[in-house]
Amino acid sequence: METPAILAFGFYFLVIVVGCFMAVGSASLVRALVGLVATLLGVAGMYLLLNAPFMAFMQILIYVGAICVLIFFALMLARADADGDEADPAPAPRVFKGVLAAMLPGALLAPILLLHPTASHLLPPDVPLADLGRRLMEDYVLPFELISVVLLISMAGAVLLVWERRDK
Amino acid sequence: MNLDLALLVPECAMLLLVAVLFVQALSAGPVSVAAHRWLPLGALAVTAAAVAGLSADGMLLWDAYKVDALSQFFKLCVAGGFCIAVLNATRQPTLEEGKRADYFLFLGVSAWGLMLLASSAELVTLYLALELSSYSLYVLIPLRGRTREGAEAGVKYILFGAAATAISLYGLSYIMAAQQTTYIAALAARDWSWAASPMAVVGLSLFLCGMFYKLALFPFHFWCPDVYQGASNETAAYVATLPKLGAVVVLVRLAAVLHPGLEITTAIAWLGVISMTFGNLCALAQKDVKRMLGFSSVAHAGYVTVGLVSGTAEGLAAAAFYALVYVVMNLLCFWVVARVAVDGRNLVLSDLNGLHRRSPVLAFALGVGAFALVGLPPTAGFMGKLFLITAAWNHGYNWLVIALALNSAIAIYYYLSLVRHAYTEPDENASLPAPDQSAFSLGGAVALAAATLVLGIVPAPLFEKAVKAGMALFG
Repeated sequence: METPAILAFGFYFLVIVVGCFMAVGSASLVRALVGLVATLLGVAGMYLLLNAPFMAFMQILIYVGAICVLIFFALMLARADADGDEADPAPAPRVFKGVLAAMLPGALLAPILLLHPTASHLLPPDVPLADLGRRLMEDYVLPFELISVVLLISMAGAVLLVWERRDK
Repeated sequence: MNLDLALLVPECAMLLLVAVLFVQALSAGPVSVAAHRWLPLGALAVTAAAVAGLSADGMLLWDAYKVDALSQFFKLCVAGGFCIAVLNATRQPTLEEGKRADYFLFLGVSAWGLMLLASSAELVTLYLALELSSYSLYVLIPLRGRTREGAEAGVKYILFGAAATAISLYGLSYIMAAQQTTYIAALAARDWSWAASPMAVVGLSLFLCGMFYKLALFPFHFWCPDVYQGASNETAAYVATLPKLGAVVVLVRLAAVLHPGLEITTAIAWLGVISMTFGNLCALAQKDVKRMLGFSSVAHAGYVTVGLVSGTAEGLAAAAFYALVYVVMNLLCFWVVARVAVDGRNLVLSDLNGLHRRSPVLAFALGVGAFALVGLPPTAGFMGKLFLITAAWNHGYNWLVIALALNSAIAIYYYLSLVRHAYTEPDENASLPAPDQSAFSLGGAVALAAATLVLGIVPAPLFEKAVKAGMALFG
């Protein structure tokens, strides 16, 4: 990798990590959500580095533009309590255990990846959008359609469970 | 694009059923027949469609969907199991009125997902079909009245399930990166040893974690007893049986990749041993019948791995056959549990005391179920274990076969304690509601007990089907 690429990688990495800690650590739900938005933007940056601008724009459009805004609306409508159980700062041992658990997968996987790097391209190849679309509509058409069924079922399930709560 | 609807008769029948339920859940018109009245017949029709489609064979949708002997065998098992699960759930005391159509809708979608899973020949499809069947279960489990246990079980299942599928998906990305394909046929031609492609092995191990979660194999078993305990008896009957079929079919399909002697295959064998030992030892201490059955299913997940790691057509056939037997045995035990607990409570072992006096038929059926779970002749459980042992012996995992035999001995104690409570303990449960003695309850129990015995006495026709399915996998 060239120097600008390494600098960009470091920048996106920082955005992701800071965003993560903000998302998990802040007491206010709105702030946590801003952290999540930062993380998602950082990931979009990583897609740009991988020469996948379409993925990056979709990431911003869908995750930041739609899903996070939706969560903001849900927060607003649910009027989450600022001093609920979750808002109290977690005791230090629990924070320690949580960080340890979060590090564990990385600690297990990183040595394997460093010791056995996979053969890879030096520069990310350019995948035309038309190829991507054809793949989705041919080889992967069944999963593509199944995703919509999964979404339908999760929505229907959410409606069924929330209805139950409302007439309590 | 090739899409031959004639090959998809069972799936289409199931989808039609789901579509009707969807309409019914949305608009409960005054003239419509209640879902629990017509659905058993509908489920029977789906089973008939699955029988009709038993010999279908072909590749669909750019080879992502494979209709072969294996998939059709499992589709028939799913359809039959769904039929019994629906019948079992028609008299669910803890389900609110007005939610029956929704309940059956999600049950149907879950079974439909399992049918698609049986035919998936490509990892992304397979992953999504599995998700489809689990999402429906996430909804079903908390639907038990308004109890805390139901909510607790639902939350646990969703959170652990989400974590397990996330791990699975992450592993899938490693497989894609290392092998550049997600088609199982292409993956089978690659080298899966640690020396050749460590990243792919890591990816596959992570991917399998999600399957092991569904199968409740150690160390992904922790949800199992809690969820069975928290879900209503009828929902637990479904959760305990059909999703296991789905996990087994995935593992049988992936057996094309998992040759004996590979590191990952040996790891699965070890997990199998730990799973059966741990499940059996924990089950010894349980008082709640459903918790006990939960730990028993952890042990049975271990038994199934014995067939999977052997790497022969007979081994895979034995695993498939055992999965079917497991489903029948558990549906039988849960049927009795649901009929004895007419008010929908959780049964403890002492609730079964004197059952032979209150309901001799249910007590006998429970006895057959317990004997089958132990693996005593002439029940199906015995034949299933026999096939597993003979298929796996002398294929490099003899220690696994020995562990299976030892574990069956441990399991005798707690399974037979079901029978002991039902037959020899004095009846002190005068204040509890009497077990359901209607023709429906007794007929179902007798039919399931008969199926357990028939599969044990004449297993050959079904086992040969399974062997043919296994042969097809090895080309």
